[in-house]
Amino acid sequence: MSSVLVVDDHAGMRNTLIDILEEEGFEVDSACCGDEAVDRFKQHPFNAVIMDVMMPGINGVQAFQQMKHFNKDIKAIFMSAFAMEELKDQALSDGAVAFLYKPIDPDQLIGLLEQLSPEKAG
Amino acid sequence: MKGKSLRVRMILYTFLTTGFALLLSGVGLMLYDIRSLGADLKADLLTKTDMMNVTAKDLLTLEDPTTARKAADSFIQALSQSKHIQNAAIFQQDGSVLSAYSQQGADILYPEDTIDKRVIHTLNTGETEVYEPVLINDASVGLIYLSNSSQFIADRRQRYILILIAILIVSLGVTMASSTWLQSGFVTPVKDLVKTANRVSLEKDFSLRATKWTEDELGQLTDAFNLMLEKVQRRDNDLQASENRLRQVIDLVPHMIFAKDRAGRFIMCNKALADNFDSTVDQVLSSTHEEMHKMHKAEEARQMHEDDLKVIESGEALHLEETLTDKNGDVIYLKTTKIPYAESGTQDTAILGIAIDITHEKMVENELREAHEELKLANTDLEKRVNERTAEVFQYQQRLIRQEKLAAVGQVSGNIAHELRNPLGAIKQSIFFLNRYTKKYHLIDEHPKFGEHLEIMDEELKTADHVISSLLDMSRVKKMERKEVELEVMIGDLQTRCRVLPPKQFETTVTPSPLNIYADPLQLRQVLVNLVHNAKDATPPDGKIEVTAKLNNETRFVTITVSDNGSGIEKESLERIFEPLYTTKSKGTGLGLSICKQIIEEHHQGRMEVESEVGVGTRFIIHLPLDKHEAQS
Repeated sequence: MSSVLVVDDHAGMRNTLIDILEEEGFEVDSACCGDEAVDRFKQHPFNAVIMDVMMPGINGVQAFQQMKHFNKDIKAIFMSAFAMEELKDQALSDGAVAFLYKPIDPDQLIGLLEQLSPEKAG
Repeated sequence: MKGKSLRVRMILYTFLTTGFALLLSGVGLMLYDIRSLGADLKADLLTKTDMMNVTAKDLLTLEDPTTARKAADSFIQALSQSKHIQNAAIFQQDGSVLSAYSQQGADILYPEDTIDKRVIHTLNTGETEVYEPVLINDASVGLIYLSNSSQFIADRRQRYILILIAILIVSLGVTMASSTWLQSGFVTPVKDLVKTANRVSLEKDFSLRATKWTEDELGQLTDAFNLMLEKVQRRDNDLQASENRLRQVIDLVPHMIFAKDRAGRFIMCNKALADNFDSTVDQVLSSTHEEMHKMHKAEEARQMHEDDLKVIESGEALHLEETLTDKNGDVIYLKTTKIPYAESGTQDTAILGIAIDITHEKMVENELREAHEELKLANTDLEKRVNERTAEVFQYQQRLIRQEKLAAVGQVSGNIAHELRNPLGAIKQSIFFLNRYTKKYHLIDEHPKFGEHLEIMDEELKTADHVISSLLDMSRVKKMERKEVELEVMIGDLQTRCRVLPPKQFETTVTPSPLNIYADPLQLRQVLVNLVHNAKDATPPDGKIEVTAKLNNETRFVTITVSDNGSGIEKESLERIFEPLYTTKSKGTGLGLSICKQIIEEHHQGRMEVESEVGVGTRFIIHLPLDKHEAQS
């Protein structure tokens, strides 16, 4: 069972994603900001992290960098409400799997996550 | 006779008069004298007959015939002394000659007829002969005979004629001499007068004077003539002075003054005119019209002559402006007045003209006109430039407004995008969830409208997302990535990309082919797609869309047009069509065309225009620099 951490300060985004992913069979946890996400990641090594870029506190890319201290193989998919070319470039160069624009296509996300799941990888 | 000189006439008159008088008197006298001489001779003959009869009576009665014959001979001899007696004879009773005499020595015969009384015969020769019987007591004792000589009278007549001729010769000689004397006293002063008068009229020299020869009437005539000459001289001097003054005045006048006759010959002119012909007044006056004008344009000379004739024919003054090309080929402008004119002393009509050189005025006028034209041109240019600048300023202002609006839109959209996209994202995910799992768990069949509503939500969500995307496009400063774009390929691709399907027609033209332009392919495509989408929306299903690209080799700009034969755009809308947030479409954001304009004009240094007519169609025109160089400049 693949575990996914959904990080978004917007509850609607967060909750609908959780519902979809759980329905698709993922083990889903969530965080509402960057710091909380880093804390969760310390406690549990998720197979994938789906993270908003612009959030209160540290942004998604900064959180991703901190998470990499604990697991440098972390698989991160970023979501952004609008184009942030610099952050996108940085995230992709830091090893992010994808950078999606909101509203995201759930089918696309599911596809990406399925590719990242350990069963598939294994 | 009339042609002969006075002198010859005088001599002839004198000769004729003198000769005629002398001849008449001489001939008269001669006739009279010869006639009276004839009578005298006849009377003398009769007297001598009487004397002879008395003597013969005595002699014939003498007894002694010898004594008688002697006495008779001496008597006849005495008679013959008279020269006019031609013949004389005394006959005896028996008819024999007692004594006879004949000048010619002829024999004198006794007459055959019986002579009983005095018989006088006047012969044709002019001779007169007398026969008379000598009677004693009425008895005849003998006969006497006497005859006159005709020769005597003839001689007398001849002498008269000779004398007459001599007198005539002498008289005529005297006449000749007197004529010669008259010449010196009469003809010479007259001849001198004539000579002087001739010289005066020929040489026009009124200072000449005739010589006074005598104190008589001729002398008075000479004085009168000289006095007249003096007066004429004074008058001439006055006239000359007056003419000189006039000449001075007209020569001082800087305008050309002249008079020309019907043939175009100058009969008067002033210095200004002569100067103009580079000639003297005298030369001008002695030249013909053609000679004077030959250095000039024939057309001008002909026109001038025509004008002259017009004035002469009509008798009315003419005011004109004419041109005169001088020998250097420079054109002189003249303001000329021509007046009908009759030269004093002649019946010939001529023209009097005054020509004022208005070349300078003309030049000034022309310069003024040119200056005026230039000014007008400059004014028009200025006006045009002001208009252009105004238009530029207006465009710039419009652009500023648009940019400000765009910036504001960008800012606002940037701010709200995040807030909007999250709820949108949530809604989208929610719809996804519902759609997917109601189907999965067959809940969708619970109500026939479930699926329909989910679709409506999904569709509306896409629209909202499109609006947000457009707004974000504006706020986003995209990186320009310019490169060679194959226009033919990009334009050819539009039909598929925009899903323009038959029966809608889609035509493209690219000249020259291939045509590569230096631009950002994504942005350029975005513009073209946007325009074709608009055209597609504006046209009926069987409408027509045309895309063309054409290179202007001079400006190195490519003009791309997207035209349709659709509904067209109202004027009010057309003016605002590029304004951000302005839309006529129910589903439009009002951002598409303003973004297109921004891409073309701000990003590509091009220009974007639109023209449209309601019911006919719309055409979008894009001008883009072809090369890197132009694009950067």
